[in-house]
Amino acid sequence: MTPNHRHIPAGTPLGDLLRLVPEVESGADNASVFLSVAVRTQGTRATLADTLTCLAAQTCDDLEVLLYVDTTVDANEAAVRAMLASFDETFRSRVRVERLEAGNRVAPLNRAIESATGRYLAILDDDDLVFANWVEDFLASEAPGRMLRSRAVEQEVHLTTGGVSDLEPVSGFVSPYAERFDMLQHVGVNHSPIHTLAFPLQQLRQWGLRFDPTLPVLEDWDLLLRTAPWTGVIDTGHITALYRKWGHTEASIHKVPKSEWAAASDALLDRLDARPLLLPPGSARQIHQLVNTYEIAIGRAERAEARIEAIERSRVWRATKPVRAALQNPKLRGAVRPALRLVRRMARRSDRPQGNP
Amino acid sequence: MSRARIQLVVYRNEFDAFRRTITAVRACVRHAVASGLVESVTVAIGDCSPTPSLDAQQVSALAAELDGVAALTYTFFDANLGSAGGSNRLAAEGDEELIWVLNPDTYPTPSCLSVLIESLAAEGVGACDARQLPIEHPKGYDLLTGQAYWLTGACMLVRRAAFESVQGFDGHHFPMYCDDVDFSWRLRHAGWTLRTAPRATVFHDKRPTPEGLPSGSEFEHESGALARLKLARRYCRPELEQNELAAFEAAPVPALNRAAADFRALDRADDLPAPMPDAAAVADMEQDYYGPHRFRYAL
Repeated sequence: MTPNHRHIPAGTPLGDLLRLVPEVESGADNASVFLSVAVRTQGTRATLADTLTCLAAQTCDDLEVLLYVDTTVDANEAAVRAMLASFDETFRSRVRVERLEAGNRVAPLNRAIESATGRYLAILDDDDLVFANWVEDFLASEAPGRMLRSRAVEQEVHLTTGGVSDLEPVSGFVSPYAERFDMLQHVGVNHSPIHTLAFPLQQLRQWGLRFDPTLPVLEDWDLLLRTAPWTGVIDTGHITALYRKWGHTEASIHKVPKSEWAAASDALLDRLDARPLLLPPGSARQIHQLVNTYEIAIGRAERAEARIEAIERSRVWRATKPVRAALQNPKLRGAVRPALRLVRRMARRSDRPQGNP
Repeated sequence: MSRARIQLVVYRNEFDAFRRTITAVRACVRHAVASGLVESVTVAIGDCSPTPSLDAQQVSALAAELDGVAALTYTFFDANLGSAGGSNRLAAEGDEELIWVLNPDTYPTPSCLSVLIESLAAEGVGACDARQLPIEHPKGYDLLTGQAYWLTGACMLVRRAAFESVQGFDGHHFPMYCDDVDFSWRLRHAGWTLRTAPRATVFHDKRPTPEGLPSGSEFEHESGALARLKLARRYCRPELEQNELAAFEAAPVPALNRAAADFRALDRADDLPAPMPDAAAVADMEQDYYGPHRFRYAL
């Protein structure tokens, strides 16, 4: 909050909003590296080599890799270090390995915000894949202080055992994510897998924005919703990432109970609701349309509900209750067919507009 | 232990991208040597470009990148031999027991060559290929044994004995597209087994379209369609050949129309692959693809 704004009282939306923003030092971000990529791994997945290979194969090498090994098992850390050692030094020299024993999936991400030397931070999990132009595409859209967003395709993958492969794709690509970032849409559903985002590091640090360590899941959605209103989002428009949707029990969606997903979703909405929400230009018309659409839908639903209630109160409906019950019983279904025909005739008759000749 | 020959056929490739591939190859060679799987390696570059893609200084720079782990040769063909013809020429320049055919727009993982060599070790296996990233090829293989119907040429390791038993790729009829399908089927016809080794992975710089489909140029579509008709002729599928020729001619797709016209012109000039009636059993062309596929790329 600058001195000129101090007369704006606390408790007003604008005053509260301005007080959220600490005084920041002006000046450009002079970090020499464009992109810091945080990769978190437990060192047990066979997919880590694929993820690192995608980074080594980037057409733009203006990046550093922060590889966080979250493990208490020394053998896993040793395996990760040995695997990294097998990569060529041109890539290996850009990778920093750090061991974190926090046992918290968010800890490495916040550690990356503190220690990264790039202008932007991107996150890759150890099963994510990116195309060769992932970094190049972000760099082409770089704008000081703005968040960058590319697009991902999704492919369903299953783990396999006992054969020559560790995993098998079982689908082609689908593209379920919105082409353009829309703040209101993102409040409802996250359309931005974590590896489609590049966060401006100077802004995260100056504004104290961090991943929430209390969230067991959805930490990326949470930080996106808290950062995007302040930085804005630039869409690169290009598909540069592949999100692997794990079948069976590999994904966190299966490992974390549904109740925890719901609680995490509630928590991030609570946090958003605890402060004024800054929306981008164009949001007023969007909200206007959303509310109108909602009210039309509610009106239709109420009319449909009233009609159902009327049917349930009708004499025909009550009279045919035994027939419907019999239809649920396979043994009686044949016996009630004549009655069913009668019900259909009655129903057709009751459907005719009243008062017509 | 064997000697290996790593073959890259280039056509107007950018030096920096190519250099990145060479650094990946360097790591692969180190891994394979350290694992006791190869004793010596030569990296052979064949250039199909109209003018040399590499000058003497760049060749020296690439040789220096290899840092003594492998010898380097560079041959400017002064003709566009295609990837198939170029691979044959490069293979003829050496005598190593193993030939690794590798696209110049790839980045193999450090263990890729080692895993491929191990996969080739079994009796009767003539060639094997790697799993591609990020766009995995959907072609089928036996998930338990890796036995494959055909192999992709982007990253394929071949025994020289197998390569020479079928006179290598057919660079005349299949200069660039389906050369790997035809080569694979002729290997199988000659009695060799093929394997896919999915734990050998290679990054292949293919990118999706804005709609999220694997991209393909008009030239690729045309060449692929022409190659399919030629495969139908070689592997004796007259009904399929006629049906697809008619479909290509009727399609409102210029690339397919041109492929059909080229096929008819080659037929008139008696320049189509000679049929191999006894090889029909190794060629599965009944679906849109070659052999069964594990999944399909379509939205």
